[in-house]
Amino acid sequence: MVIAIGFEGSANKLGIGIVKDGEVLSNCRRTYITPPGAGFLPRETAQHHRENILEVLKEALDEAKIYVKDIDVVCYTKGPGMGAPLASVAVVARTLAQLWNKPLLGVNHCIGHIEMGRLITGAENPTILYVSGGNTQVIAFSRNRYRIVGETIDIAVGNCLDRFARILKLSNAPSPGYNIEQLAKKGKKLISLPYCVKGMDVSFSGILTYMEERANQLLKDGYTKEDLCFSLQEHVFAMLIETSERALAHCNSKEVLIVGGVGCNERLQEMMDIMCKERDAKLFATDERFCIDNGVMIAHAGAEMFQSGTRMSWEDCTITQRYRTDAVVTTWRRE
Amino acid sequence: MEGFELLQQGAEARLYKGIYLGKPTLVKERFEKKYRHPDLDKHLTKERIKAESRAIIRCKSAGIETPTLYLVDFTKRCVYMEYFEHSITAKEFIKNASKDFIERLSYEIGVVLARMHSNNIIHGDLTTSNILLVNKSGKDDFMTNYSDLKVVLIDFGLAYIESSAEDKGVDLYVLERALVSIHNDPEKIFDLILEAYKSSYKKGHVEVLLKFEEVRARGRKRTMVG
Amino acid sequence: MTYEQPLSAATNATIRIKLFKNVKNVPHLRKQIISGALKCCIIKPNLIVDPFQIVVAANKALTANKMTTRTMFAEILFNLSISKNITQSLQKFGIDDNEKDIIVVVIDKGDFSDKVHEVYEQIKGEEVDILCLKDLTDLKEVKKAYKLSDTEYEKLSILDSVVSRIATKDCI
Repeated sequence: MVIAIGFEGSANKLGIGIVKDGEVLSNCRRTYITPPGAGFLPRETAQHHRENILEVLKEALDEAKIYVKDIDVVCYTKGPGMGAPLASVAVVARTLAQLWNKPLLGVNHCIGHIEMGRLITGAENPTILYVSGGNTQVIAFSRNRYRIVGETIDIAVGNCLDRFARILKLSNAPSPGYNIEQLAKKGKKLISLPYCVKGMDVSFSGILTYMEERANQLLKDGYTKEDLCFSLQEHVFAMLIETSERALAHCNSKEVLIVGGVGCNERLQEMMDIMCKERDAKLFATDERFCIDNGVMIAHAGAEMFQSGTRMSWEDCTITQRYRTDAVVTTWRRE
Repeated sequence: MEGFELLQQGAEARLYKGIYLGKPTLVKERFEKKYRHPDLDKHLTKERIKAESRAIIRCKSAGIETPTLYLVDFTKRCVYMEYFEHSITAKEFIKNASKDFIERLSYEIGVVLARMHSNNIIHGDLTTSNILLVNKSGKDDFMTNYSDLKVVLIDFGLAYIESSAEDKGVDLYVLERALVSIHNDPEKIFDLILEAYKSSYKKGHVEVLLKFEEVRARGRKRTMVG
Repeated sequence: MTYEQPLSAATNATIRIKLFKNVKNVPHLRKQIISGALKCCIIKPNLIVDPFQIVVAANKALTANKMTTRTMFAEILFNLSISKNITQSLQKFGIDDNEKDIIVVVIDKGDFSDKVHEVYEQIKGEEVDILCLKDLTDLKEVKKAYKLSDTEYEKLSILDSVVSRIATKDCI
């Protein structure tokens, strides 16, 4: 039996969660929301995390109704992500591990998403679409690693959507992607936009640049904000489904799991479901508690690592902005 | 499809075989993807058909053997093209042919790829199943006389025109991976391919092979960004 | 003698191609075609490598949803050309009054079998075996007309290259 506490802060979500043998005891989160038209920058984001982390920690411990002495391992996001925010959270995790005299493990953020997704949905060996503000990858498990079968060659889909929301000056609360989704539901006219899939990889900078240059003119020409949101979603999501379908066919898989913040989007889930049904595959997805960055996923992945014998020295417990999903050997999961 | 026999069903299209206009013909029928908005689906399918056709024509201009095209039907999402009755894939050939023949084939593949890349054509799916050996005399014999055979490139469904060395490097990497996963002596074959590629693609090969090494070292298909 | 080929199943049509030499009434035939009285397509032999080239162009004309030109016969001439300019295409592949050797193309939809003879009766010339076409082909002109590269011209089958260009005119 392992009780793990996880600390997540690689982007603008600060999350602390506690898990006991796959059971979620607490899942607390605060999001740093910037005004419409503005994105979040590392310094202010780190500041937000520092200002809130102790309060969130207390919340997580109270909700879980456990004592510090019951905790077996302290886990934190080692990377990938933004430097200052990652560091601000890592510092607290390291300090607590020392204060409480507990082992410390640095967890890969992407793997946190994947393992949480598998736990919640029960998917056995899915092809994984991981889509968030910072990452866009199609992943398949093979020979003890989560192999990146396809990915974005420039920006993440979430980043594309967030920056588009800024052009339209949409509110960032609760998240820009959520607001795009709501507007898209009312969109009617489909605008033809650049579509870029190369094999199993995708590229979003072209469609973003196109929108940046033409959004105002399109609005003047009679298209509504709803139409623009609708058109953007239809295009970027189709690109994601296409690469997922290729991966599914290539890996001969019958399951698809969507993880990451953009995975909350109902239209994306609907499109993926249509594709899955055509191929006789099953779709697995989680809700916003676990799609969006959270501390529980870090705790759970860390617990898995811990239980399978992974240990890290203090020197290893650093943070890193670039940390590829396939860099981790899955000691807890063998082929 | 009336009068045609279903050969294969992939993720993108169905392949049929039959006689059309008096010739053995392969029909590639692309699927309608219901998850896409219908306008987007129609537009994309048309663009893909055009890209595939352009790549095939461009290869011919470069002196590379590819299937002859007979009809392009955007409404039915079909392309009708030459079916090679007396042919085997390079994959099959390598399994059964003599060392000498395999060497000659490897060299020839290198020359063809060099010509393709120097014309900025990216195949996009270079596997040994997409390289055919066709018997010019119409016989089903691939082991007796190498000069009876010609190398034909097929399946340009993922092809595009691009001058970047990285894309060409990725093209080569995909072929190497395909050789490794299927054949027994992949290094030797690939080495010969690269040797021929280098001597045939005098100016461009340096940059391409640099990118190829980068891609290969990372163990994945594209140089990492961001 | 005649080159015959059923076209795409959906068209229910068979194409018949004949070669005539020393034709004496070309200007009259041209007028008849333009007026619609003569139901056939007349093609200049010098740019035709093989009757199959015409088969592909005709098949495209008959299977199309929408024609670019006004008649099926003009459409065949238009399809033979890689140019999107109708007038240019008809001039290049069609005949002028001075032509003596001509290719006559008839599309038989089953209901036409009787009328076919009416077409041939009008031609005041000597029918020769269609195989003689190869003596009339000007390969250098073909290369120019279809913009074939030197490499392609030397290494690959010219018919294959030409036919592929005809098939993919709308893709370029």
